[in-house]
Amino acid sequence: MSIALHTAELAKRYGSTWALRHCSLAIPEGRVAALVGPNGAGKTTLLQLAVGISQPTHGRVEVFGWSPHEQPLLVLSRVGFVAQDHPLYKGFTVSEMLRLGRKLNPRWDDQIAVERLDRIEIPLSQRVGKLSGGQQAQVALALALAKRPELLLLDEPVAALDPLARVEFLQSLMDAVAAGGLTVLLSSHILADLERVCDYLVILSSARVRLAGDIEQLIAEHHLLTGPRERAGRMAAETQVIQERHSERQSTLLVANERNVSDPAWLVEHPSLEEIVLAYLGQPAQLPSTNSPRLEVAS
Amino acid sequence: MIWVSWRQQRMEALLGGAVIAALTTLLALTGRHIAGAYGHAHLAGCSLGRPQPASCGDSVLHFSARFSNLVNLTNWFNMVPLLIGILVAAPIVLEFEHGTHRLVWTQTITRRRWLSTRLALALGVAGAAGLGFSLLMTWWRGPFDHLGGRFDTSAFDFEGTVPIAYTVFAVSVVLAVGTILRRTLPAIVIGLVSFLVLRLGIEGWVRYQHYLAPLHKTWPVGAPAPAGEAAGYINSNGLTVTGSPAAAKRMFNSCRVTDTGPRQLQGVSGCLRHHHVLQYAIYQPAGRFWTFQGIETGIFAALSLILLGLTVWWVNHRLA
Repeated sequence: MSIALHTAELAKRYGSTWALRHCSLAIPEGRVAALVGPNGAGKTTLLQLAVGISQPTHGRVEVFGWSPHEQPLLVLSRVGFVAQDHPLYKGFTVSEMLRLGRKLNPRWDDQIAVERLDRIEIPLSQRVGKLSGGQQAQVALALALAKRPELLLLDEPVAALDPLARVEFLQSLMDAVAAGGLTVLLSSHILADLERVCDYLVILSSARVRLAGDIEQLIAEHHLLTGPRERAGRMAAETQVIQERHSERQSTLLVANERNVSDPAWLVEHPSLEEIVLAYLGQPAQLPSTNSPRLEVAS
Repeated sequence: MIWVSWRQQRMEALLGGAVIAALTTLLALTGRHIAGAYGHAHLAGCSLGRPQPASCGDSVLHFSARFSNLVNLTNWFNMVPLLIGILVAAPIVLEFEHGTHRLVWTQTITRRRWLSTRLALALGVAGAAGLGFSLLMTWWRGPFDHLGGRFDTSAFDFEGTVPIAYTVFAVSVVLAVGTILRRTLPAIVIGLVSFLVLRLGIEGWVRYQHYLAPLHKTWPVGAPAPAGEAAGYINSNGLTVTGSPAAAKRMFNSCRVTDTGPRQLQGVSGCLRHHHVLQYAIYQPAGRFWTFQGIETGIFAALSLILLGLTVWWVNHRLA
């Protein structure tokens, strides 16, 4: 299987802050990869390095074997990129945006964009600034897809959209993926949206890659163990614990690399994708809390 | 890329075009009127620094007084290079403010090509507008320059090569500040202030004082002034008298000096010569016009080059 995006010890520093460090990734062709992490984790930096908007401080990034910095046109002609907040010229009409794409891209296919926009009923004569946020995101996606990219990079494509526009956008994306020949890497800090569309996961946190891999495989490799609290310590010593949560009598451990848990006191389950992500980001999962805040009424 | 550049700054281009058209119309109409009045008053033989017919004095005064308001109005035209510079540079800064540079740079076009096209267009338009402005003003001011020289600020600032340099500088300063700040309005404000400070500072304290050392000449009262004095830029002039201020005052009273203007001195020049009074002038002679144009153009061109270099470096290394 060939690699669409490959990074080796990739690092980027802004001033004295590392935006990305020791990033080594290999995203295989044909995957829809989610790049997940809190704000400031380095997601935008990684995407911008991949498309060549910024240059690495250390390490290498390659798109289909080419460096975006050294062979920009070879990379740019194969990559569709939608930056955060999907910037567009607000004063242009939609058809003028398409004309821009036609003028600046030799591989441009007008029909792809026109058909997509027609299907979701965005008039070409409309000024971009007059479109809703969701429609603007759709125009940005149509522009990126009409380049006939082999790799599509989307930076927080749905973050600013309302729930309905979010669903519609991801549907459009899935249609494009279904047409084949496309690798996608999209970043988000909202996992729920990505679970349906992605089959590959990269977790970034504090400028570092925490976890990367095929989602089904990741779920298969992780276990959620629930058992008595007094035996949690022993269990933790025997396994690789990613995250542990304790209530009064019960402990829940999320562990990597399955091991046979012989102790019948422990309930063994596979975690959900969200549980894995939250565990690696070191955030407490949203479980029903025993001491939920009560409404206090002053007498 | 050309179409994209044009489409992206179409509004600013149309606005700039409208301003230039209005300015051209205004100057063409008034300029024709001035040239007509100039020909009608037979002023062609009254240029400075040459022997003048006796009729010249009053005609020149009359002509100058008639159009003085109009000439004063052209002081505002010092803002024209700045305005053109802002209109040319702002659309590029807007790209960085709105993040649309990320859209363009991820099409199949290198950042280098994008930047060189944008800069070439911006500087080309600014240079051409500056040149057109200079030619138009030189034609318009023809009669005044003929009578009073072109070394004073009211002519020097609008003629020759300096309007081109001012315009290019205005583009460069707004562009450099805007590229670093990625904000259009602050870039315009900072650009405007730096432009005015630099222009007024150089004009008031550097150009006529330091580009070349001014000449310091004295000559007997009533004798012809040295060549290039009248049509040059006078830093200061007057009469030099030896002796105490009280003695000088008595002497002026006895000679009935009311004013030290050349016309007032004509009638009393014999008396003053008798008292060994000399006329003096500290001045930049008219012959230095092009040297000074070259120096001022060079200064603004060099500053523009530095600012543009900074812009290019910033775009290539700091913008993402």
